[in-house]
Amino acid sequence: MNFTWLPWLALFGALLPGPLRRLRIDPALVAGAVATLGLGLLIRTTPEVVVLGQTLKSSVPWVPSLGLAISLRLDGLGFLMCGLILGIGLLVVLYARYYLKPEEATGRFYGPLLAFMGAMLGIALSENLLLLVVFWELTSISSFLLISFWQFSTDARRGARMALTVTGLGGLALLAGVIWIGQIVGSYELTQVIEHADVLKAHPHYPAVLCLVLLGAFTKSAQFPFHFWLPHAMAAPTPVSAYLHSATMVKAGVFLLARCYPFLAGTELWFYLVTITGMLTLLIGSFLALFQNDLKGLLAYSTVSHLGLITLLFGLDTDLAPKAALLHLLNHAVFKASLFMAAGIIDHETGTRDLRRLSGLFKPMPVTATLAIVAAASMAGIPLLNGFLSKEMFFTETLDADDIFGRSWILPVGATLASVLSVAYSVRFVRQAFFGPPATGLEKTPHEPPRWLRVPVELLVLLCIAIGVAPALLVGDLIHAAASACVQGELPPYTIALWHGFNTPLVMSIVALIGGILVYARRERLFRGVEARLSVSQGRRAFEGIVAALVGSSQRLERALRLDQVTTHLRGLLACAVLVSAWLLLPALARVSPTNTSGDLVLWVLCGVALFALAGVLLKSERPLTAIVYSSIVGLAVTLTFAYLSAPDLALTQLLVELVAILLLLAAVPHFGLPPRDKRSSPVRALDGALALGVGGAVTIGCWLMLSTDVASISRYFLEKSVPLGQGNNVVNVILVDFRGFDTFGEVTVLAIASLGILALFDHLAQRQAPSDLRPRTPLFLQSVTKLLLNLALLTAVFLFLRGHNAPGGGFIAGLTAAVGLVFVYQARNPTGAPARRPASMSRWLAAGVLLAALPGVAAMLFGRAFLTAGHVHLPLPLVGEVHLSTVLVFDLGVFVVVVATVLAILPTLGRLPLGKPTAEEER
Amino acid sequence: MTFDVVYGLSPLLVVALGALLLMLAEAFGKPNPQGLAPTGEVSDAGAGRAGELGMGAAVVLFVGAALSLGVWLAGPDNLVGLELTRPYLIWDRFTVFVCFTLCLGGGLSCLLAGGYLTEHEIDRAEFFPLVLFSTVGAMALAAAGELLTLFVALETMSLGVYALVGLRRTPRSSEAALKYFLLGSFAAALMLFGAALLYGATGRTDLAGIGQAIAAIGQGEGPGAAQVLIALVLVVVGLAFKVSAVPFHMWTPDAYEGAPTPATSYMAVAVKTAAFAVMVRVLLIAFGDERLTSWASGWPPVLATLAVASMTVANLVAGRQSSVKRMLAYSSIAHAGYALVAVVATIRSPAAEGSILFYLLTYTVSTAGAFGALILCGSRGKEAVSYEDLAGIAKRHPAAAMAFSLFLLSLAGVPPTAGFFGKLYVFQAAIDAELYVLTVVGLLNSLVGAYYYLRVIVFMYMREPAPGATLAVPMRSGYVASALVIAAVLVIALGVLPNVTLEWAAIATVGRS
Repeated sequence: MNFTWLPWLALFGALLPGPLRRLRIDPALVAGAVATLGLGLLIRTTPEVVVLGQTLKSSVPWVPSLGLAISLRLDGLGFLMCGLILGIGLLVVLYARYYLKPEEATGRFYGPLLAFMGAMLGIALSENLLLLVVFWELTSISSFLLISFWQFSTDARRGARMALTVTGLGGLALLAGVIWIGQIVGSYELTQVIEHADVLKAHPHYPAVLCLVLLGAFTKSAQFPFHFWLPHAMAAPTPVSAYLHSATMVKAGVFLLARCYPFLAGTELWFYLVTITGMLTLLIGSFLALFQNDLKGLLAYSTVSHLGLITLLFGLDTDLAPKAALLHLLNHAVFKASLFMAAGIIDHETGTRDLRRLSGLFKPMPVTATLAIVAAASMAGIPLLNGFLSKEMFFTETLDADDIFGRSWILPVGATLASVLSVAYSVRFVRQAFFGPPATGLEKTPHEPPRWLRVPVELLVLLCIAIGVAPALLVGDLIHAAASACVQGELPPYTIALWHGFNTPLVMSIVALIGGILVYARRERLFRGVEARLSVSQGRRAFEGIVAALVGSSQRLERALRLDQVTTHLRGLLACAVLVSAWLLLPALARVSPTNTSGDLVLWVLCGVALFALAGVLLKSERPLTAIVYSSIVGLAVTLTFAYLSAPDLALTQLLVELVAILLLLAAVPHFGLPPRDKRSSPVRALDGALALGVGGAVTIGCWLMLSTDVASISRYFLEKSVPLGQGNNVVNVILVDFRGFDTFGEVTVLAIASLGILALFDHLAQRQAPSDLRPRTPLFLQSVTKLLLNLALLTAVFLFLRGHNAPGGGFIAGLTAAVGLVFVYQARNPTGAPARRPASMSRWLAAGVLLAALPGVAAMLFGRAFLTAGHVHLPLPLVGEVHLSTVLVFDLGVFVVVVATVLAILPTLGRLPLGKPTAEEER
Repeated sequence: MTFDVVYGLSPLLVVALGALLLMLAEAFGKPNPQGLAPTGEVSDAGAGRAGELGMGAAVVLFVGAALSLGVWLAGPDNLVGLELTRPYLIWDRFTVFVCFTLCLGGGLSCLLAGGYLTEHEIDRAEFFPLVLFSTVGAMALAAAGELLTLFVALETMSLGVYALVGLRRTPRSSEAALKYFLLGSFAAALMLFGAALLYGATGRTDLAGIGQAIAAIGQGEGPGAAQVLIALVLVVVGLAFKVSAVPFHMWTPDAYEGAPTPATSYMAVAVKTAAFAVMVRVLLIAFGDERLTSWASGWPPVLATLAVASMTVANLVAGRQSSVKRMLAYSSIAHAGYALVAVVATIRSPAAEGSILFYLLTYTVSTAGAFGALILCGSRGKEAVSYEDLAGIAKRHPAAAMAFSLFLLSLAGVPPTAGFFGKLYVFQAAIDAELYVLTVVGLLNSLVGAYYYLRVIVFMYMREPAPGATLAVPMRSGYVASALVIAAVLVIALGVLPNVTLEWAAIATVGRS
C-alpha cells in the first residue's frame, strides 16, 4: 500500500459503517481505523517527501478520451494537507464518538464523514486538474449531507442548501476554468500545466480563466462576498463544524490557491484580485465576529477572517508569502479545531452557546476553560503560541509587499486593524464565557465533560504550544517542503523562529494586542447601534434576495409560458418566426430586383374580392352562416381566377369542392357552439394586429422571393409527353392518373382511410335512433325536383367521367358532381337526420373504390410492367363513335367511387349527431 | 451482400418483426381472466396481459440493442452491402450508436410499462406494439439520409407516440394527446414545407446531394439562396419542436404530464434522442456549407439562442413546479438545451458529435431511471405526484428513494455518475469550439438544475409527511425494479468507467465532408 490508497481507503471506507453497525461494530471504530491507517501510510512517506522534498507520482488512465486520469501526486503541499485532514479527522472521530448521542452516531454520520475525508484527500493529492474537480464536487455533496445531519431542523436544511449552492456555483466555475486551462495547455496534468505556465499567463483568455478558478477557490473558502454561507453552516453538529470549517473544506479553497500558485500567480491581476479579496474578507470577518452572540457564530466569522488572511498572503508577491500562508493554514487548523471542540463541550454541558447567557464557566469547568483560553490566545496571536508565529510572518510580508494602489501603508495598516479586531473578539470569547458571575438559568448544571470528549482538545492545544515554542524543530521541514512544492522553486532561506529581534512586526503585534483589549473594553461606546443593524448578514440577505428574485422571475415566466394559455404561446412563437424570418429574409430581399410584376386588372380585382370576402369570414366568425357565405365568395373568386387563367379543370374542381364543402358545412352548423367572447384588452389587440401584420409580411416576402427567382418549369415536359406517353389530351388528367398515378392512388387511399376514421369517430357519438316525430316534412315539390336533378347530375357525371382523359373532367370531378346530386336528394328527404341506411355500409364502397383503383396497377404488374402502367384500347361503339378506352379509366372509376362514398359517409353521419353537448355518460 | 444488409439492419428488422408479432399476440392472445377491466370498457384480447407483453417488448428491444452492439463490433463500414441502402438509410457508426441508445431507452420504458399498466389497471396492451413501431421509426429517423425517408420515419415515430400519450382515457391525457398531436403535426408540416423548398432549390432529396448543391449555390447570389434560407428556418423549427427546445416546447409539460408515465419516459428519451440524431445529420450534411455554419450567416446563432432559452427558461420554471413529473418534463427541456450547446459546438469542434451521442446516452439512462423511480414510488390510487407525496419516502421505501436519488444526481451532473461525464464532455467540446458564453450559461444552469433535483432528495430524506396527508405507497413490481436496476448499473458504470463508451462515441460521426 502506498499513498495512492489514501483517498480510496476513505471513500470505500465510507460504505462500511452502515453495514458494520448491524454487526454491532461501533462505526466510530471503523472511521477511526481508516483515519489511523491513512495517517500511518502518510507518515511512512515522510523521509522522501518532507525531508528530501521529493514529489511522488502515480498515474492510472481513467478516461483518456477526456484527458481525465487518476493521477495522484504527493508533495510537501499535499502532505501538509493530508496530515491535517487525517490528523484532525482522527481527533474529530474520537470527539464525535462521545459528543453525539448513541442513536445518532450511525453510518449516516460516519459514512458521509469518511466520504468527505476521502474527497478531501483526493483534492490534496490530485495531479490531474479534472480529477481535482471531481473530488471537489464530492466534497460539496458529502458536506451537504454532513451539514444537514440534523435534517428535521429547518436551519440545518437551509444552511446545507446555501452551502451547497454557493460552493456548487464555485465548483462549476472551477470546472469551466479547468477545462479552459486544459484547452490552452493541452493537458490537465499539473506537471504539464506548470511547465506551460508562461503560455497560460500570456494567453488572451488568462483573465477569464483566472476569474473562474478564483471563483471556485473563493466560494469554497468563504471569501467576501461569498462568506455568508459559512456562519449558516454552523447548524451542523459541532464535530462537523470543527472538521469542515476549521481544517478541511474551507481550507480546500486556499489549498487550491496554493496549487494554482505556480501557474496562475505572479501577475498584476492575481495580485489585485486575491490581495483585495483577502483583505476585505479579513476585515469584514473579524469585524462581524465581534458582534456574534453564538459561540460557534463567533468562531465561524473568525474563521472567515483567518481564511481572508491566508488568501491575502497568497496574493502578495513576496517570496516568503506562500510560506507564511501555509504556516497559518496549519496553525489556524489546529487552534480553530480545538476552539470549535471546546465550544461544543460548552454547548454539550450547559445546553446553550449563547454568549449572553454564558458566564463564569471557569469555576465549574476549569480544565476546559484553560484549554479554550490557550487556544483563543493563539487565535489572538499571543507569543509562545503558534498563532503568534504566523501572524508575525504575516506582518512582515505585508510590509515587504508591493504598494497597493500606489500606497504602501494600506496593507500593514489593514493587517494591524484586523489583528486588533481579532484580539478583541478573542478577549470577548474568553471574558464572557469563562469569567464574571456564575451563569443562571442554564438547562444543565455546567461541569467538566467526560474524559474522552476533552482529549482531542487537549492534544490540539498541546500542539499549539509545542509549535509555538519550537517551530523549526516541529514543522520547519514540513512547511519548507510544502512551500517549495507550492511555488515550485527555490525559497530564500528563512527559519521560522519565535524571536526575530525587536522589529516593526513586533511593534504591530504589540499595537494589536493593546488595541484589541481597548476595543473590547470600549466596544459598547465604539459600536453603539451597529449590532442591531448587523442582525442579518448582508450576504445572506443578498443570497436570499437572489433566490427570491429567481423564484419570482420563474413564477412570472411560468405564468407567462404556461400552456393553458395557448394564445400566449402562439404569440411568442409567431413573434420568433417573424424575427427569424426578418433576420434571414431581409438581406436576401435586398439582393432581389423587382421583375415581371403583372399589371392585369382582372386579376387584381379578383384578388381584391377574395381578400374582401376573407375579411368577412374573419369578422363574422361568430355567425357561422354569414361566414360560410363569405367563404363561398372566396372560393368563387379563386374559381374565376382559375378560369381566367385558362385552367378549366382546376376551375371545375374548385367549384365543385366549394359546393360540397358548403353543403357539409351547412350540415355541421347546428353543431357549432357559440364562439367564446373576445376578452382581449385593446393593447393586446394592437399587439396581435402587429403580429398578424408581421407574419403576413414575412409570408409575403417569402412568396415574393420564391416567385422572383427563375426556376426551370417542368410544365413543358408534361405538355410534350402527354399525348405520346399518356394517350390523352387533358394534361391535368393524364398527370393525375398516369404520370403521377401512384400519388393519386396514395391520396385516394388516404381519403378512404380518413373517411373510415370519421365514420368510426362519429359512430361512437351518433344517436342510435332519431326521434321520428320530430322529423319535419319537406315540400313535395322539392323532392320531385331533386330527383330530376339527381338524374341530371348522374348523367353529367358519366359524361365528365368518360371525356376526362382528353377534355376537362375525370374521376374526381365526376365523383364530386354525382355527390352533389346525391346530397341534394338526401337533404330534400331528410333535412335533420335519420339516415336512409347505416353509413357504415359506405365503408364497403370505400374499400371497393381503393381496390378498383389498384386493379389496373396490379394488372400491369401481371403483364410484367411497372405498377400502374397504363394500357389502351380503342373501341368503336354504336352511336357514340370510337371510344378510347384505357386502363386508367378503371383507375379513375376507383377515384370516382371513393369520392362519392366519402361524401355520402360524412353527410348522414353529421346528421345523426346529437345536438348540443354530449352528456357525461355519452362522453365516457 | 444480402447478409451484410440483413445483419447491418438487424436492429431495425428485429424490432419491426417483434412489433408485428406482438401486435398479433395482443390481438389474438387469450385475455387474462384476472386482469379484465372492471370499468365495463370494451376490453380487447390483450387485456390483463400488460406484464407479459411488456416483457416481450422489452426483450425485443434489448435484443435490438444487443444487435446494435454486434453491428458496431463488426463495424458498419465493413458491411459493404450496406451501401445498398444509401442514400435512404445511412447505416454508419453514428446511426448504430443512436440505435443502441434508442433500443435501450425503449426497452427500459417497456419494462416500466409492464409494471405500470398492470398496477394502474390500464388494460391497453397496444402500448407495446406502438412503442416498438415508434422505435422503428426513430431508428430509421436516426439513419435517414434523404428527405422523404426522413419524413416518413419522423411520422412513423410520432404517430405511435401521439397514441401513447392518449392511452389513458382521462380528459387530461386526451387533452395532452390532442395538443401534442396538433403541435406535432404543425411541426411536421413545417418540416415538410422546408423539405419541399429544399427540393425546389437544389433538385435533390438526399442530404449529401443537397449539401453539395447548396455549396454550389454559394454566396447567396444564386437563385436558390433565399429558398435555402427559408427551408433552413422551417427545418430548424420543425426539429426544435421535436427536441422540445424553448420556445417550441409548449406542448412538452402538458404532454409529459398527461401521458402515462412510461410513455412520458419513452418520449423523453427515445423521441428526443432520435430528433437530435437527425438534427445533427441534417445540419451537418445538408446545411454543412461553410457559409451556413458560420456564426455570421448561418444556423449557429439560431441554435445558440434556442439553447440558452431552453436551459434558462426550463430550469427557472422547473424549480417552481409542484408536480415532480412536470418538473422532470421541464428538466428534459433543459437537457435539450445542453445538448443544443453541443450541436452548436459541432461547427468548430470535431469532438462535439461524440459528445452529443454520449450525452444522449447518459441522459437516456438517467431519465428513464428517474421516471421509473417515480413510478415505483407510487401505486394505484396512491401515486407519487407532488413533492409532498414523496416526503419521507426514504423511510418507507429506502431502495426506491436511493434509486431516485442516484438518477437525479446523474441528471444534475454530479460525479461519479453518468451525467457528470455527459456534461463534462459537452462543455469540453463547447470550450473547444470557443463557445465560452454558452459554456458559462450552461454551467450556471446546471447549478439551478442541481437546486431543484436536490429538492426532491431533500423531500425524500429530510421531510416528514404532513399529518393527515395522503401517502404515496410504493408499488411492488419486478418489471419496474429490473428496469431500475439496469438503469442504475448503467448510470454507475458510465460514471465510473466511461472510457470505452466515450471512445466509441468519439468515432461515431456523421462523416461530413
